[in-house]
Amino acid sequence: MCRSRFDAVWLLPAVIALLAGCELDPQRYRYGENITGLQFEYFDETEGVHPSQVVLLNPNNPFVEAPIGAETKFDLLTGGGNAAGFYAWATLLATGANGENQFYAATKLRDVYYANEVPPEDSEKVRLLAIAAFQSVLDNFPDSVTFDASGTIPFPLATPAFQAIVDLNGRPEGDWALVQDVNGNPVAVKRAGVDIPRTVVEEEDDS
Amino acid sequence: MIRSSLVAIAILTSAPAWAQSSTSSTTTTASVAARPPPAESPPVRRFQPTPRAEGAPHVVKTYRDERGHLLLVDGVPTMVYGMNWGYMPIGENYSYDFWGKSDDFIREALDAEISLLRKMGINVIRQYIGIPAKWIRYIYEKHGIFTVLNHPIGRYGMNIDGVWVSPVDYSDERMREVIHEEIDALVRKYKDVPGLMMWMLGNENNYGLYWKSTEIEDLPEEQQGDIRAKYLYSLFGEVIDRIHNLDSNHPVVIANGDVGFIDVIAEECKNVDIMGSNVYRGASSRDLFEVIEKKLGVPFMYTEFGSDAFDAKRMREDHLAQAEYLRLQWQEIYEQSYGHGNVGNAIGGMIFQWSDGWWKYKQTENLDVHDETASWATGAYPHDYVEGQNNMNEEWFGIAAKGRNDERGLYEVYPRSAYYLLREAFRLDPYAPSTTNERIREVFGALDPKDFQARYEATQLRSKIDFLERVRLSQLRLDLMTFTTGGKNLNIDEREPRRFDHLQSAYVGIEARPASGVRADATVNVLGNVAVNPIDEIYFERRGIPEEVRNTAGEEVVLTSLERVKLYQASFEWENDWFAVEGYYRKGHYHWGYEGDFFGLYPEANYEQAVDQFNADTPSGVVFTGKKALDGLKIAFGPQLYWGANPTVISKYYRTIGDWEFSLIHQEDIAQQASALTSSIIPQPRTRKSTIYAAREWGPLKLQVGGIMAGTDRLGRRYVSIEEAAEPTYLESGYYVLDDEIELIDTLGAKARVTLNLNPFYWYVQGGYRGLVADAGGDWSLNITNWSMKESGQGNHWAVSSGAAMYLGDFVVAPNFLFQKPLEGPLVQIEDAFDPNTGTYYRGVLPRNQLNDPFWVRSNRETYGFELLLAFDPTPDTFMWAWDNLQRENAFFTAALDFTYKVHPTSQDAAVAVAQEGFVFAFAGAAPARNLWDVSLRTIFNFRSDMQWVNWLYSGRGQANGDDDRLVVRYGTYGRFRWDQFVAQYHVRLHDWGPFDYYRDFNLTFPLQTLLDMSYALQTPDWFAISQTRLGLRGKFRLLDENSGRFQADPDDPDAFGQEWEVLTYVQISI
Repeated sequence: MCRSRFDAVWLLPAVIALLAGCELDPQRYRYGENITGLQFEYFDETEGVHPSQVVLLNPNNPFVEAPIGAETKFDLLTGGGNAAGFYAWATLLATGANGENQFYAATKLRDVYYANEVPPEDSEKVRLLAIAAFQSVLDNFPDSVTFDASGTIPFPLATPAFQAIVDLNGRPEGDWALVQDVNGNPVAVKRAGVDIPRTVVEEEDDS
Repeated sequence: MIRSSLVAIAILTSAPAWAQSSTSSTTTTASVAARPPPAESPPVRRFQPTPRAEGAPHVVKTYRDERGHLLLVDGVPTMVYGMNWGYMPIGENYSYDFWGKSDDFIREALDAEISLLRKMGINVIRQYIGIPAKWIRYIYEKHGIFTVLNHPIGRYGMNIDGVWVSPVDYSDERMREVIHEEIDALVRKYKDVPGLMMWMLGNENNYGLYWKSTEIEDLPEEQQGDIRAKYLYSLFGEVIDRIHNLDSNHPVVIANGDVGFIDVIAEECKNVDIMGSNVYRGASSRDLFEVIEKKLGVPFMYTEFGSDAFDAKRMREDHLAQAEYLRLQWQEIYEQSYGHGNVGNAIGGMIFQWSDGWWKYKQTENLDVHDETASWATGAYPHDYVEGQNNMNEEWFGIAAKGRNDERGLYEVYPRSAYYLLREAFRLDPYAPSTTNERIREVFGALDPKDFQARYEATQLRSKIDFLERVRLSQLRLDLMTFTTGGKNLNIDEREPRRFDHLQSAYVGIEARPASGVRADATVNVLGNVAVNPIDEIYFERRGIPEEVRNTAGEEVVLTSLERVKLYQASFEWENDWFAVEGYYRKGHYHWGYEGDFFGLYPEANYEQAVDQFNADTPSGVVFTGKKALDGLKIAFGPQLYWGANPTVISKYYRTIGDWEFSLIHQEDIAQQASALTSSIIPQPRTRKSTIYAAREWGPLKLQVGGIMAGTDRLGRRYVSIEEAAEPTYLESGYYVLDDEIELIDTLGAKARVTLNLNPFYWYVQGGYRGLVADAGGDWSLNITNWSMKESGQGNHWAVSSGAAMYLGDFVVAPNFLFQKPLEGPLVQIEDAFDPNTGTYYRGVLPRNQLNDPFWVRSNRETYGFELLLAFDPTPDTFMWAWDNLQRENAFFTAALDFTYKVHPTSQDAAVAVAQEGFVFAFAGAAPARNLWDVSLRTIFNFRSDMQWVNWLYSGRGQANGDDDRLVVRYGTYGRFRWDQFVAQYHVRLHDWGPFDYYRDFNLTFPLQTLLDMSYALQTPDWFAISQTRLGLRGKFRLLDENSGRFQADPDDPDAFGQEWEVLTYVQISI
């Protein structure tokens, strides 16, 4: 009589076999996917703004589980379309916070806005999101730079971020000011701690 | 009435009259009187209990002739060796309900206490109403001791028609009516109970005559007492008569306060059988016997007497004085008893009392304090009497001191000198013909309390030690170290000059045993200075190392007081009949591999010094083990049951039924472990696992089978796999890339093992399949012998292994094979790409890792392995693979050679490691596919019983944990030499990794590493003892090259090695 109790021991292989025999979803071979037609869909008011990582939860983001290569990200920036470029750089920002990733994510957001790639009801949200993304460059990565195509000449990102905010009819926050350097080029600086002789640099009116 | 009938049958002859009488109510037992008492036994004339049926009461009579009075119990003259006994644990008071406890509790208490009374010679205890009849019978039948049942007659108040009245008004008719009703009911209920000796009324009720009534208070004050006494004793007289009417077999005694109102008693209690008094007159009661005989003419019995055991003058225990008073009091009882030419009315007494009453002073306060405050005074005890001061200590009247309660509320007693003295005294038969007054004086005079003090003091000391041992210092350890270090050709410039540093670390451990079956300990570590420049940068106790932080003002601040004091270790055990619970914090535990944990869910966790090196708070948890109906159930729960475990609960049910053993285990992670300290132990993703296991033996054959379901929380997670293929392939990588997701089948696994035991030949074969996420633990059990190559505990593989061991005399030859292959192999790195012409994006592929993927390939990598284990052990009684063999091995020479060769046709997925800054990261890839081997030779020489040399020689070809592709071929030796208290430890390692995980993670090797540690210990060192009292000197020396991490080549001599060295002195004090 006791033996019958232990028939259960042999059930496990049977269950495994049964489950193994069930129809399983077949594996899918991976091919490339066209992303130039990808449409931007407004998802969250922090998407693409450090330290938010909601872009990794966005089902419209094709780069969530894709390791984006060092070369490919610039290919995507220039030729992948505004939405794909944003998702790529915002994904890079979410997995590796730096000023360059933040700046280009903001840039592609701005491009989405300028190109009217969103429904009218989302246009203003995208503008504000782009401003927030540029502001994040000023707030979180004020000393960051990017490089030219040769990879040798650095360009500070604060100044174009400042200008982009202004261009988007925004107001840079955090005591930032746009001044001119000795060559007359505009440069964004923090009001506090700037040690440039006033005889050389005249502060622009930022009122 | 009874008394007169006995007088009528008395026949006066040379022999005692009672010895010649023979009636229905008395029997002759004189023939035993002449026998001398055997050692350690009660006097021969002590009444011997016989089982009695219900309804067959003892017949207890008083007897009187010209020689005095006797108490006859079933015809046997019986001296009342009585005791005021009660059971009152420390911390309780008069509200304690002993008889309301469980039968088991009462029985255990009675057996402990009453047996002591019996050994002393006590034959009667005094009990107030409330004792159930069954326990009177039990005490008699089990221990041979009678009970005097005492109704207090309203002494401490009484319930009259639902109203509590105190003090009672003995003139109140309703009160008297209630008393009669209670007495009638009591007598009817108990009169036939075997073991009942007599009825007792009141307890010093004459001291409680202070009720108020107009009738009495109108009288002159000097008459008020007599009037109240008349009411009291007239009630007694009525009660005595009613008892006599209901029960003719048991006499009635009153418990008076001394001989107060004896004339009233004589007038109102004409039929009282025995006069009883609580008497505290010191060494002698003087005329008390004559007064009672003259006024009442009945036998006399002390209902309370004795002495306290505390000297109020010197404020210290004085059990010798107590013994002396009791010696003299009992001598007087003997002298005043039947047939000794004196008054002859003493029939015994009831000592007050058995054990100290810690509650008596204040009665509701300081119940667990043995109060030393004397609460009343009498010059009858002159040894500690001082005029105008109290000298009687109510809480010290026990002839036994009282021990502390155990967890159930039971306690031990420690008999004082009086106990042992009286035990000797009671051996004298008061009624034996040879017991003359001279003999009495001779026997009692020879009893010196000092002769008995040692036994009490020894037991008392033992009790105090037991109490002190409830909390004790379990560990005291002090480590003092100095470090002198230096180096050359390092990229850390400040490490090159000679530097000096020091460390102090102290450990204090406390162990508590609050009750039997409960134990707990805790050790606290306190750091002094912590050295920062030892050459092993992650070093013993990372705590306390200065850390730079930035304060809110942005300034850098060096913090030097971090974690200077820390709970270092703790554990507890609590065991009773139903369960055992163990808790541990930074203390090791063993695995469940031999009790049904076939998949290693609960691994061994003995990390020893590693927890210090990484400052890990592990293992930490609680294990519940069921007993009785819960036998087989174990539940482990805790924040980190083993290193790297998530907060989890593991429940296991393991039983053996018939020839089968089986188990069910479920593990449910509660949360994700937040931190990782070293790359070898990265917390796994939060998950759940369930296993089932069954095993059975058929003669020499054993079958073990098990199934597992694990990782169901990862169902639906996407993953990538690759297939090697001919062109065209994905991004011309040589692989097809496939996307898939975790399904139910991927959570399942199974394992089976067959073991054959044909001594001296052993063989096993094992096969297993694990779905992609069916992760479990490693195999911690020893299967046949100590093969190092085992199937992985990770999911995502199938495996077959088989091995055999042949014992050839003192030799063992044991080959072992392993074939293991992941279901989904490791990924290769494929860079992503974007084609701007078509707008097509090709996603890249990276090796999987533990942080981002539902499964990965590491220990489950494809392996075709061969292992050969050769051993020589002439003393198999000290099993060479036992965990403590290094300590236990007793052969002159043993050796074990282990060689493994593993073919790995493929690589692995990426490893996870911990960066210097403390965050966890995954490498980009893994070391390439390579074939690896290892060989080690362990030898043990026991030259003499106090001289041992244990040595390992090793070599191997290995790979980095990370992605570095350099193969490492390493050699070395290490070991320990011990000669009595001297110990030398050493190692010489060539081209080997450094001492911590990260060296292998980043493939950092040293051309040479050496160590020599010499120490001298207070005692022969234990191999496994972490701490012992010793002093020692340790030297370390390393050569560095371009693979060593900190190396910086000398431009003037680019071929020169770098160097690191360290001289460490240490003193360790430990108890």
